[in-house]
Amino acid sequence: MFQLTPSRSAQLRAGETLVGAMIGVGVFGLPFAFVQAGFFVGMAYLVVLGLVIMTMQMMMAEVTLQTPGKHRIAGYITHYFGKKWGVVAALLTIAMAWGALVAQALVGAEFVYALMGPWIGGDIFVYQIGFLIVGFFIALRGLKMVAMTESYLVAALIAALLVVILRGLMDVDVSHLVAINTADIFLPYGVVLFSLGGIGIIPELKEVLGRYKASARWVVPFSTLSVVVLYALFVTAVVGVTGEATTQEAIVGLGAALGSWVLVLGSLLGFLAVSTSFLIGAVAVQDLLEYDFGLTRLLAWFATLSIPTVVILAGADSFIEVMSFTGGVFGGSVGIMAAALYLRIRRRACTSPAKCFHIPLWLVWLMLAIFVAGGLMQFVSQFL
Amino acid sequence: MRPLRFLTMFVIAYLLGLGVGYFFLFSAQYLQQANVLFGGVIFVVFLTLFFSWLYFRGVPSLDWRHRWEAIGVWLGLSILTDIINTLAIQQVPIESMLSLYLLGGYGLQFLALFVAAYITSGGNHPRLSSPNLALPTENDA
Repeated sequence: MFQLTPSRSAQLRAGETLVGAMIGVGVFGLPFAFVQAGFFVGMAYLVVLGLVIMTMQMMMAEVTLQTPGKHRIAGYITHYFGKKWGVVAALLTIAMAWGALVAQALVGAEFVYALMGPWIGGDIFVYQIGFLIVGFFIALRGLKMVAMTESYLVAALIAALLVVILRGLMDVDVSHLVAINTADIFLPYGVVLFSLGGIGIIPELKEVLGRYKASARWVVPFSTLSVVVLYALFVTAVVGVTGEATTQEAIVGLGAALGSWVLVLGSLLGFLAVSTSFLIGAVAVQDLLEYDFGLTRLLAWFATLSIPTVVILAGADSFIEVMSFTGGVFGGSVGIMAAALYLRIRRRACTSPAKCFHIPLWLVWLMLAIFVAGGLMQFVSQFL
Repeated sequence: MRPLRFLTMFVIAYLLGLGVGYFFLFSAQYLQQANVLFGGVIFVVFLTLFFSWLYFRGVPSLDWRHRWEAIGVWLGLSILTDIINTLAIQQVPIESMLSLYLLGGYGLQFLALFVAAYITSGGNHPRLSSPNLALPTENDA
């Protein structure tokens, strides 16, 4: 009988945890962003930022391995840089989560609209508000059951993506891929960073791996690269089939080209995966506000729901823009935090290269420069 | 804080208030008398008072910090749901709902919430202390 060794089982669970945290709503925004910038430009972003994110996650993994105790990113920042910076880090993490909640609500509503709009009708705005109201009602009660189903839903989403990839690759039109479009050459930056977000889960890997925690040094890059490859195949399949007609959430356009079963399968699994991530994200923000900032449950719940609701009410209706801004500004900030933490432990704990994941200093500074420049560019393009 | 109880009371109060508000709105239009709207405001304030009283009555051990938070969240939710109602149901721009009349309505709602929190606190509430204006007498010395 096939049986895994305890170490291999722990490594698989850790890999599954990281992949599950990374794959989410972001994958649906990639094809549209790639079409806007040109497929190969988008692919270059995916490869370069994929490597950057992989390195960043390895740095974060090293920080968790070299620091005793269990913390979140903000906890590590407090540990190494003091309480004030810890608060800044927590606020940035919450802002990132708020951005993700807005994007998830917008995409979730798109899926519900695609599935039910033809029968019920109505404006997409009503679906967005409905998604938020139902989501926050459920989030108030806590989510043991949803948390249990998440891993199954992520597995189902990956299976659906693989089906879409296999079916899509059969109908790829190469002319769609080589089309050059420089309408928005910087758009994929934030969207790719957003879609590869998942660094917040790295501290949990130490716990999942237990006594095999040192294997985080190869589980992390392997998992990240798997996600990058899956994304690359998905984008190739979607853009190759729909080309310029790629819709923002990818699935509707693909359904129109390949048949309604793709639309139903993609929308249904996409909705389930997105709504689960939304609920878990909402509860995570609530917990952060409740336990780290001392808010009561009710106030933490209201703070969690009010910001995304106000953002949507204020007119944010393009989840691509939300992803781009959230990924570029807040995702980049989280990257800066990881790099700063690594630089600190590199000096203090990594005395011997053999005992530590060793990254040349120039590379760390280059990554910092990418995140700062990307964040500034995103900020300027959004507000100025 | 029993958040589910809070949400249930809020939702019932809001939906009933919405129904009553629309009834008075249509009545005012039908009768061509704007002052009929005032009846709607008063009704909504009493609904808020009643349902927030029901909520606070079920959580007698709540201290005043939590009571203030519950009042704030109730008002915040009212404002958010009013905006959603304006944009999604009535489909009119947000500027059309801004008026002193509305501000007065929220002020009355706040008062109703405070009264409900006050009367259910079982005497454990902040007291207004008056300065001692009595002149010192020779016996005080």
